[in-house]
Amino acid sequence: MTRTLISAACLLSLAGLFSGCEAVAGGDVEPKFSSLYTHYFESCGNCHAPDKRAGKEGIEMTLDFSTVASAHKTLTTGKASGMQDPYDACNGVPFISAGNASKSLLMAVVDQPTRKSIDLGASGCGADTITDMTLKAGEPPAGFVAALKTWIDGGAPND
Amino acid sequence: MGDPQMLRTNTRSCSHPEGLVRAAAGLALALLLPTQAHAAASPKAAVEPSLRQPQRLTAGGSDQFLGCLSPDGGTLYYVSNRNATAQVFRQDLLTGAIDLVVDDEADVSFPRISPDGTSLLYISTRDDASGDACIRPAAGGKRRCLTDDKSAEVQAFWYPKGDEVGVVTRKGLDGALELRRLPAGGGSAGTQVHPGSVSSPAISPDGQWLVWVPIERSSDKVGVSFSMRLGRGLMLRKGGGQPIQIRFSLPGVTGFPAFSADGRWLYFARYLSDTNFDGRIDGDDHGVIFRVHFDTGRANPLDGSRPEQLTSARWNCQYPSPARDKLVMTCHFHGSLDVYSLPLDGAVPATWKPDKLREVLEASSDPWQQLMLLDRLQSRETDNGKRLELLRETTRLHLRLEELTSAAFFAEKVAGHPSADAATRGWAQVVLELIAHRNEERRLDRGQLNDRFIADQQARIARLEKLAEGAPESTVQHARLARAEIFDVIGDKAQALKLIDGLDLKQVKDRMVLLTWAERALPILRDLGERDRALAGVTALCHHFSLSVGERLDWSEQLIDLLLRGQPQTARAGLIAAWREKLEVDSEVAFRFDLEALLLKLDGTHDEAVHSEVRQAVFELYREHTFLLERRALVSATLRKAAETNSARMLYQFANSWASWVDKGHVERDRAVALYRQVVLERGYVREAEKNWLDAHGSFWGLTVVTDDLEAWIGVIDMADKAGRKNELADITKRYKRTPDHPVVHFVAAYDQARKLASLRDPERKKEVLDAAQAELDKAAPGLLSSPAIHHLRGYLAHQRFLGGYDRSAAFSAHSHYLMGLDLARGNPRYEAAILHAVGLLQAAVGNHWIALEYLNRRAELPFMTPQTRLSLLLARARSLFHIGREAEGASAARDAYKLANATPELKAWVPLCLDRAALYAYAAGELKRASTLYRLLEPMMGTSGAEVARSGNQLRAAVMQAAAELAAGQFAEALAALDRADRLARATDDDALMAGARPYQRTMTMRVEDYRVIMTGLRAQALRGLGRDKDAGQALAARRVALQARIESGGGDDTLLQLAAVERDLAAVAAKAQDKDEAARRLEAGLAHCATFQKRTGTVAPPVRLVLLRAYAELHLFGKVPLSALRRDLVGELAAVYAFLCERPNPRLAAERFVFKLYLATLRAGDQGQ
Repeated sequence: MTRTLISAACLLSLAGLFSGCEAVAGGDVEPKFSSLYTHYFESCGNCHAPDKRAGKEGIEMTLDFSTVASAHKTLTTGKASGMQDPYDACNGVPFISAGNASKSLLMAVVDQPTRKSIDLGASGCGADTITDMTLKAGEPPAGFVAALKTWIDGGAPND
Repeated sequence: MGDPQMLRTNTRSCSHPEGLVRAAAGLALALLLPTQAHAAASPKAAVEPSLRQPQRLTAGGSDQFLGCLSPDGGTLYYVSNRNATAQVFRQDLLTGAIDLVVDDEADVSFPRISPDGTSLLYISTRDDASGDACIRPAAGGKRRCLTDDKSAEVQAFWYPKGDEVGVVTRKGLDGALELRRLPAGGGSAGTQVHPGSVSSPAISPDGQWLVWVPIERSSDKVGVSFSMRLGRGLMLRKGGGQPIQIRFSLPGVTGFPAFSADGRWLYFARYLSDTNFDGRIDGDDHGVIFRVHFDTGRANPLDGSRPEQLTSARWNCQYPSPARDKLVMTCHFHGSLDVYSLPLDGAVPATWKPDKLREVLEASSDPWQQLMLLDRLQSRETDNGKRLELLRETTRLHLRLEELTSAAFFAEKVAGHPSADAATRGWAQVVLELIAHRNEERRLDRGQLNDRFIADQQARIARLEKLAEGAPESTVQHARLARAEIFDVIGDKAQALKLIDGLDLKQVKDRMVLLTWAERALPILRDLGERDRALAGVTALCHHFSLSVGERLDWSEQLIDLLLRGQPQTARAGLIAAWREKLEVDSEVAFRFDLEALLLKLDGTHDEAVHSEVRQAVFELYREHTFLLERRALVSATLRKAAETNSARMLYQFANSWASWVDKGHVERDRAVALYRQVVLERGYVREAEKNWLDAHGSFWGLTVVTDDLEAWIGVIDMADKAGRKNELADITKRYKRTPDHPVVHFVAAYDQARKLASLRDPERKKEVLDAAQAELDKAAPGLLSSPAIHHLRGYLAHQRFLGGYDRSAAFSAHSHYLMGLDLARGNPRYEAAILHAVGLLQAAVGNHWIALEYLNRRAELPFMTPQTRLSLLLARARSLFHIGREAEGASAARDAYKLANATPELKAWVPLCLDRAALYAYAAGELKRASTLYRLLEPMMGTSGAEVARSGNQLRAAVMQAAAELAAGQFAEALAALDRADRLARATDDDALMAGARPYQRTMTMRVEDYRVIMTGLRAQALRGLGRDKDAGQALAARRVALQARIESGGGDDTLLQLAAVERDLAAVAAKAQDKDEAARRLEAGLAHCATFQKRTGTVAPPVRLVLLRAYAELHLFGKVPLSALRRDLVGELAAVYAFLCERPNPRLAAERFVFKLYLATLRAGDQGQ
């Protein structure tokens, strides 16, 4: 029995994308990265930060939500990495397709309609292999998803 | 040496990865698989997160009932029989603090708080066994009663202004229950409001409307208490006007009406069916709460209003008491009677539209909840045809639940429905015949068939045949199944089988007929062992177009179960493959069989490659099938298999993917999220069991991000500690920087403090920490009262307060909180295990070992995660068994503990304790050789300890016990050796050291050094005598005598006199052996003198030592030839007195003494006469 559990444990590392996010601030969310960060993404740094990954199995390894700057940089220039079967289908996929929220992984992990309709070509990264991060981080504040969409559609500037 | 359980303070000390993963799988099934079969097998396992569940407000081992809230909604008043008599308690709903408000030293009932919240009205039986209406200040104070023993009051309520009360009263036992209005200030018999037989009156908030339940008397000669029967409806009266009779369109009888605070609704309990099968519907049956709109603008405010069902019949709720923002009621739920609350619109939100109701109905696995949802749907549905189908479904469910009265009520409605066609009316008529048949079957004396019953049923079969003549095809088919059921009951199995065989399920179009086949014909086939027929029928259901996709999938599950049940593992894959060939391509059942073929590959293998291959293949199947119900079936079956085969990765993957995919807002989403969280929690525990602290911490932490689950928070703190994360509390505080007073912050602080308690030795420091933890917990509790963790921690702190000697009464508080935690922890084996263990230890600490054993035994049935917990339980059970006189069982349990400790490296430190206990209990059980052997095993372990350990007294106690065991086993030299060692140890310690080693509550029972010395001298004397060293034995006994006399002089207890008498007895024996008869006589006389003093002080005439002394004294004369004149005591007189006592109070165990004394007395008297 113990052996089974240990072997199963070795295999089990697929928490998916952004684990440990947390809604934090009140007030209206603006379609600016600083506002998006303050209202939701900041707490993603509980797990998605170089010094916080220990103990978070299968966590996405590229992202760094430690600061606004590192979050923006890794989100806009990085590609997903470190995830395991079957979610590894999304490894190598950019987080943001600037100007097109409907094709952005970041949008898909917090917005179910985007996740269900997203088409990322032949990668296999889609509705069944993208984890709903609100399961792990809680629901974002009202207006957040709309603001995020506006921000990505607007080119995902560092504003 | 302490108890290892006390080293563990956290709630997670009792779990086992295998068992818990399996528990998660059970939850998964309940969440995901609402099949007919599953619901029937385990109706209570269902979790319906979308429907509101009653929130428990009270808890405990006793009954809590008749709750009502204070006007501000902050305080609950209720009756509890926790102290044997019914008393009124008050509970602060924010803090959970409970006070006893009314203790009349007699049963009280029906507490009602006054409109201004200052006074409590209730019925008391203190001065009048038939009941008085009394009032007390709500804050506590003197009571005054408004009535006396000339009348009997049974219920009371306040009028809205609070200056008057209404009472249901009668004069004498056979008087009618009338309603009277009395001034709250007393001093008047008041005025009669209604003369008839009244029960459960209530007044509207504006004081205009009075409602009550009419009581029907079955005899004028017998008091209403003995012959009363609830009326069918309610009576309503405005002011002094004429009463209006209200009849609801519901089966059963009504009770306990109550107005809402705004007067717009009337709540009541309804007993819909004879759920206890006693032949009548009354208050002993399951109650359901309804409410009906109350429109004061109408002459009859209930005209045109349809009652709405608010609670499930399964919850068995009564006594509705609607407050401003919630409905308070008493429910008999999960085996305990307690006060619960629900939102005012009940379990089904009033805002739900028909689509939502249907969605939840489809997902529900609980027939009682389905009935509640059907009721709500009927009130929303406007289409007559659809309403008729809802009525049919309601009828079917009642029939399935054997609620025959309700089934008949709704079947009549179906038959008389304006939209019913011939087929529908035919269906209803068949149902009514079936109900009549079942009613008659139920009335059979102990199930014995008789000629009359058989004849009646044959007549019924004939009627059903006639009913089918020329009837629509569905009626013919339905009647055929009904006849099959009746033939089966009257024993004609062949006819039953023939009728079932004659029905081609593919030709059946009416879903209700198909379900009748499933509910009645399938069990008959199973009972008759007709597996092939059953398989064929179920296969037909799996393909049937008249059933929904969900139902076809459910039957696919049933088919697999039926096909594989009892088959060897090796044959299963082949059976699935062969049966798969018979299935229609692209059918749901074919999909389900494809899945099963994959999952079966996991049976019996731990091969990671196989698990990975199956997981990937199942995921491909998942991706191919995007219909929600198919995915639900796939995920459900996959999770069940993953749990069975410990495939943790599969468990997590499918829980995560499923929850990520299901649409938000769909009823399945709530289930999927709950399941996902459960799986993550389990993953944390599995990681913990693997000592993978960081990953365990990550799992628990992840959950705390999205829930306030205290179990996850406890995991975070414990794992952070084990992983060496130093700043965890600071991190948590930082996380809650915007809400620093969040209950979670205080709970975490309280828990962190409590964890320190077990390692603290300084009493003052310990008390400081206890107080600090309590203060934090008091701040946390208001927001988290529904969590078992709060009550467990409260119980633990009170438990520690008791053990620390700070508050003796804290044991009661600890017990109450533990039980409340236990109630709330139902279904969570970890909490249940930890709390059961804690209650067992608490009860053992206060000496209630029978009760302790009950809890410890329940704990033993649950799995263990750590060997420490198992060891603690074994030792605790052993100790309690020992204390209730089951020493041999205690010794066996202690030996099990020893074996466990000996075989487990991390438990090595507990080996001496286990050996000590095993030896002691073996000694007590009379297993002397075994005790001696165990003590010899223990000896070298004790000898290696240092001086500080020697001072604690453990070594001394063990050495003395070893001596006793050796002595009892006849090993005198070994006994002397042990005593020599005990002497050295006694010199190495002192009373302060011995007291320091005992818990405060044990100190009055703890032996001092001198106590040990007294025992040791006695043992030494026996050992020396055994070795034939009588002179040395005499010296030892003399030393013991000196010690005992010193104890008497210092105020020692009366029992010391008996010990002195025993010393004299032994000295007499030594003297007799040395032929010193004179000295023997003196010693016997001294012993008898001590016994006489003992008798004078205690009234005890014949303690065993006196019988021995007296007999020896007599024999000294009779056989030792010592003349009576040489004896200084009145032998004959004393012997006669004791003999007379033995005759007056004959004790079979002393029969031999009685006989001998009679003989000696006769001889003495004869000798006396001879002289």
